[in-house]
Amino acid sequence: MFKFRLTYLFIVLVALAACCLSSCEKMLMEDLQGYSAEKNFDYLWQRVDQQYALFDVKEVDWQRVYDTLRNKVYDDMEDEELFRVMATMLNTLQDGHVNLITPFDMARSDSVWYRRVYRNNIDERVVDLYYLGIDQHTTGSLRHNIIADSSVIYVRYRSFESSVDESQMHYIADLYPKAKGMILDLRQNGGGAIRYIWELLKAMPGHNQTLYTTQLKSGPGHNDFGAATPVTAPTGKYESFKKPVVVLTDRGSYSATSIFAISTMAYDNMYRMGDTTGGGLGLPNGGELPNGWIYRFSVTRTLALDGKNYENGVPPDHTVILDPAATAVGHDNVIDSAATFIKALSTL
Amino acid sequence: MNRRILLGTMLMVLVWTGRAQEPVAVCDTNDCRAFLTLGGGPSYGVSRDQGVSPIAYQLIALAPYTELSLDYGQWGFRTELSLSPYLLTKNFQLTEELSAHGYGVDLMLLSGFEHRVLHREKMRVKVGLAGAGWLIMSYNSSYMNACVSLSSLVAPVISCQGEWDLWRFTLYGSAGAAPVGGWYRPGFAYISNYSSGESEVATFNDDYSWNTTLFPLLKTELGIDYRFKKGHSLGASYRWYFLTTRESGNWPFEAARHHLRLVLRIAL
Repeated sequence: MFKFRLTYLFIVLVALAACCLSSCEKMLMEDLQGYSAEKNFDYLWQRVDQQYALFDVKEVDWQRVYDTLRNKVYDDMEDEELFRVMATMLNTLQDGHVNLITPFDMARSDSVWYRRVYRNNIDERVVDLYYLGIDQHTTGSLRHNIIADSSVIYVRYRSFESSVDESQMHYIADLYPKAKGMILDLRQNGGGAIRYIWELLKAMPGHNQTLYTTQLKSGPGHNDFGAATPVTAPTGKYESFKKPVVVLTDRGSYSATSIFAISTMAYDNMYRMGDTTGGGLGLPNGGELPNGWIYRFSVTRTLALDGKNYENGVPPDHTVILDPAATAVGHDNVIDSAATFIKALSTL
Repeated sequence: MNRRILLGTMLMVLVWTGRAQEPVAVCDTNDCRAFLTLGGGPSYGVSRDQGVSPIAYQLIALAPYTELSLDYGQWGFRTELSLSPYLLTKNFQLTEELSAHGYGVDLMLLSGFEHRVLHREKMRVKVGLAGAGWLIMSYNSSYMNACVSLSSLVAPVISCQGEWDLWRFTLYGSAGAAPVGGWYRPGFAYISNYSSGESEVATFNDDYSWNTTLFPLLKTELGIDYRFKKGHSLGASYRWYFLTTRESGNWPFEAARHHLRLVLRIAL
């Protein structure tokens, strides 16, 4: 009888436990979603404080930013007003990889945008009319032609958001076998998919040399980083292009383009010409605030072969600024300088 | 075993057509029964990964599963496998159009044994120990370079089940928990494939790590089976899981799953 009651009790207890525990995740999971302006502002500030990788380079006193702006936030404020305060906070980082995306607006860095627009070192109309010309070729995302008395290949790659393949670069090289070198124009290339960097580099003579190192935030402290991970040069399937390659950059060359630019330091046949890039070597990740707004900011730092962090821009080997007087008569003095440089190298 | 599974599948077809057939015995003794279980149904759940968002996303899924089991005297051995693709959404309402914010898949493997500790004529109590492996992959494009996340749990699960026979029906309820478990989760700053960027496919070894935690998994089940004469059964069950990393690792992860299942158990 006792055993029967024990059995019955067990069954009842198990059934009760099953009933009670079922669907009770609401008791086990604290509700963290919320539309309080103060809660969202504090959340964003803290996430940046813990995960942003470039405080040292940006020289920003993040606590002071909080102390300055926090008293502008109150719970009954309108979303647009909260957005403006958050945008002001994020703008202190001066980082083109820092954005706040809401259903009604997007915050971005003022100075990065300004430098990209007002220090534009290219006149696309001149390039299209006098260098690519009406007989230009289009291979995937690469527009190209032979210039400088048929001695230099000119390739225009507008954005790393457009796909490019190693085989396309080799097709171009094979199309102009007598060329003395190549100009790869990455001015105003705002970046995109990093994997296309490797597709371009596979065409170059790589030998597994280290291109740069990258570190990921590993803890909440501003200097908490994981081990430096070396990134090495890829090896292509085809014969590499060993002739001189001049990469043109300007302040609009950002993110993946800047990473490509520091990678050129590891190649003996690659040179940079034009203006300093816009930087943006830190890779951003994304996340969400309690109110559903999306943010992103840089969580890695990238160090070039010389150990420096070129987050604020990769300098060229040769600085050449576009001359308005030249463009007025159909000349891009940056391209012309690159072609002259290549011809001079070929005579050595 | 492949031949027996195929035979079991054929038996299932015959059951649906209403014909009876003598089952092929897997076990040699009357005290031994083997079963192939097929089941599935709608699933609802929530997931929250505080590495990217404090918001608990809701998920809608179809959750099929299969189980191989062997009952031998007072012992039972079971292996269950389920694969559930799902949609992620926020503020799900049955009366409104579903808006998918992401996608994902759950892969769960549960394998272990149970022992009947109490037995009366129509009631039984069993305790069990199983190894659970759970893989939760999700994709949310809003998070850009943190769009892919993978959370894996490996844990032993202790459970207790009570069964009550009413005519040809069996009512059962069970509760279980993992006293300890290991989570394989992203690192402090979520980002896919940051080291080389050579592929769009997330390199899951990038900054992922193992962390242990106490009581990472709770599960309960309520169900009812109808037994056919040849040992097959047809039933329905409601199963609930709750998974949590607690404070271990870099960012808390929590998930709950509610499975409503139709279950067909075929005696082999």
